[in-house]
This record gives sequence, C-alpha cells and structure tokens, in this order.
Amino acid sequence: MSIHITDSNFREVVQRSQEAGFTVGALPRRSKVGGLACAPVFAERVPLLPESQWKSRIREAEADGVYIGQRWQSDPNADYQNGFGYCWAYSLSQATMACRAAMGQPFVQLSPESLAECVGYRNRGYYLDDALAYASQHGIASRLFVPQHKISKAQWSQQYLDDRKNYIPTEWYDLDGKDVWAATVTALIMGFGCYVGYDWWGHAVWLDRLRIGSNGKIEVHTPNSHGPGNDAWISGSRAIPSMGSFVLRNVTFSTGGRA
Amino acid sequence: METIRRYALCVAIGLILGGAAVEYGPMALRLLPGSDWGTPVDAMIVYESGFDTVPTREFTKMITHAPRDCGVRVIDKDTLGKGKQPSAELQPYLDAAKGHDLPVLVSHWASGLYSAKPCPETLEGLKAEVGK
Repeated sequence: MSIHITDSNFREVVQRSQEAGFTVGALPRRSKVGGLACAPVFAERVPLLPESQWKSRIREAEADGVYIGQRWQSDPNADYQNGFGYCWAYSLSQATMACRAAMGQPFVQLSPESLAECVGYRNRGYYLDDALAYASQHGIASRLFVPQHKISKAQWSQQYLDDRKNYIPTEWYDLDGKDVWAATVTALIMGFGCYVGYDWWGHAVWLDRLRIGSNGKIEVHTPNSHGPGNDAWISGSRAIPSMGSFVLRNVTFSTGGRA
Repeated sequence: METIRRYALCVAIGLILGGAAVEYGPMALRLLPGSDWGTPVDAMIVYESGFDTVPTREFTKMITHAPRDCGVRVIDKDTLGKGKQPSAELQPYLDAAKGHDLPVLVSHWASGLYSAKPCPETLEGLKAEVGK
C-alpha cells in the first residue's frame, strides 16, 4: 500500500504525519540557487526536456526499467526515522545508497544519524543544502558504526570517523532555478534520484520514479522515511519541490563491506 | 675453431632469443588482436563528469542496466576514492581510460592487464560485448 497525495488531500496527510509524531524536519534552503560549490545548477548543464515530451519519456523510462526506484529499493524499516526530525538526513542517505547501487557498488546500509553533528546531536530539523554540503565534505557512516536512532556521539563506535570517508556523495546538481519541476522530471527520466524538500509537508524526501496516474496526471514516487506502508505517490502542485531539489550523480568509489 | 665459435654464437643467440620469448612472449601474444588475454574478471564503464545533453533512450537504458544486467560497474572519470584520491582499485581503470573518448568500456583481465574500447551504445551491445 502506498499513500496518494494530491492537491485535495494533502492537509490530511500532513495532519496524520503530525499525529504520528513526525515534526517538521526540513527547513527552507539558505543558499542561493547555484550558491553551493558542490552543486552546480543542473539547468545550466542540461537542456531540460520540453513538457511536450514528458509523458512519452516517462512511459518509456518505466518500460525500460530506467528509474532508480526500479533498480534500488529503500528498506522501509532500516530507513525509518521513527519520529525523529531527521527526514533531511534519511532522504540524503537514501540518495547516497541508491547512487552507490546505480554505480554497481555493493550494498551498505548507511546511517543518517551519523549526520547528527549538523544539528548539534539533537533531535531537530535541518536545511537540505547545508546537509548535503556537510555530507559532501565528511561523508555518511555505515550502520555498522552508528546504530539506528542513536544521535548521541557517545553511542557510536569511533571508527565512524574513518568509515564515513568511504561514503561521500561527491557530485551534486542543483535542480532549483527557473523551473525546478522540469529539472526534477528530466533528472528522474535520466535515471537519477532527487533529494527534495516540500514546505507544505515540512518534510524532506528522496524521489525515485515517475508514472502517469489513472487520471492522466504525472505522479512522482518517494519511498519516504515514515516507516513501512508510507511510501507515497504525489501529484499536482504538491509534487513540485519547494524547499530545494538536488540530484546526486556520484559517490566515492568503495567496494565496502556489507553492514 | 671457427666451427666452435659459430656454434657458441648460435647458442648465445638462441639463449637470448629464448629468454626474450619466455620473458616477453606471453605479453606480446596478449597484445595481438584476437589473442587470449585470459578471463575477464571485471569491467567498468568510465564516462564523463557533467552532462551537456539528455542521453538517448538507448544510452540511458544501457548505462542504468549495466551493473545489474551485465555486472559492469559504472564510474565517472572524476569519481574519487577515499581521501579524495582514486583508490588503488579504481586507478588502473582510470589510467586505461586515459586518451580515449568517453564513455569507454574498461576490462580487467585475469592476466592482470586492462583494456579499453569504445562503450557500446545499447544494452544489447554491452551484453554481447561482455558475454551476457
């Protein structure tokens, strides 16, 4: 079962999230578009697909199994934030794990909690752009050294400092700009995942595929990080990222071990 | 005396040629087109950092399916390893890709050699290339 989020029911989804204990985890970006050294502007590099081609390319990509969500699937239990305001970290980790899979590297479960330094090791929301800037410098440690839902450094193995250097998301593109939706659609059709924030939800998610819904509208999918059964298909204006949108193309190359 | 000298010279030349054949023969054979390089143990597609166009449907399909369907890993030429330096494993692939137009398919052979050739443009072409 998936959640379907539309322009008419999104308030109910937000309310359910709040009732389930999920606080605002994503904050509006602080940097200007193109202001991140690690993330040049996508639309300045790639001619965005014209809207007239979207639906046919979306169907073709699905038929070809091109979407990153068709090639790698997040584990809804391992990637469950469990009430912590760490959606900004969980979705960033999902983006990194998927990128590793796309490069043919062995699976390693990464630990979003290893990014806790960004928020002073407290249970707080954070900025997507600052989070990726931190991760592109320090990396994300594996679960082997930083257990799930443990955000105090005292609960971690000190080996995390070396370990995280193996998992650095190095090459990002900023999808914001004149037309963030066109850039997001183009990136997904090219087989990349998108790390985005939605201000109406106060939530950061990782987008992994597109489809044409039964009503003919474009829908975008996120595995989400709200636990099993909470992956979502989002359509209409709710699907358009509103607090930053980034695509990850490269991670450090490491054969790694299975965590 | 002359015969002995000739015989000794022939033996010396023979030893030199024989030694060279033993030392360099296998390498020379491997460099000949169509010769046996041993078994391919790994392969990677090295492609270009940054994009300036949306890849074709066929190329997108090929590059995204390469790891799962063909066991061919995909790396960007600017992919950096631990400490922001190419890892020992990665470096030979990047070295082999040098001087070639990207994307390039780099194969690592059981003989220890690396070879590079233009990457096929389709998934079917890649499968045929790597024997899948």
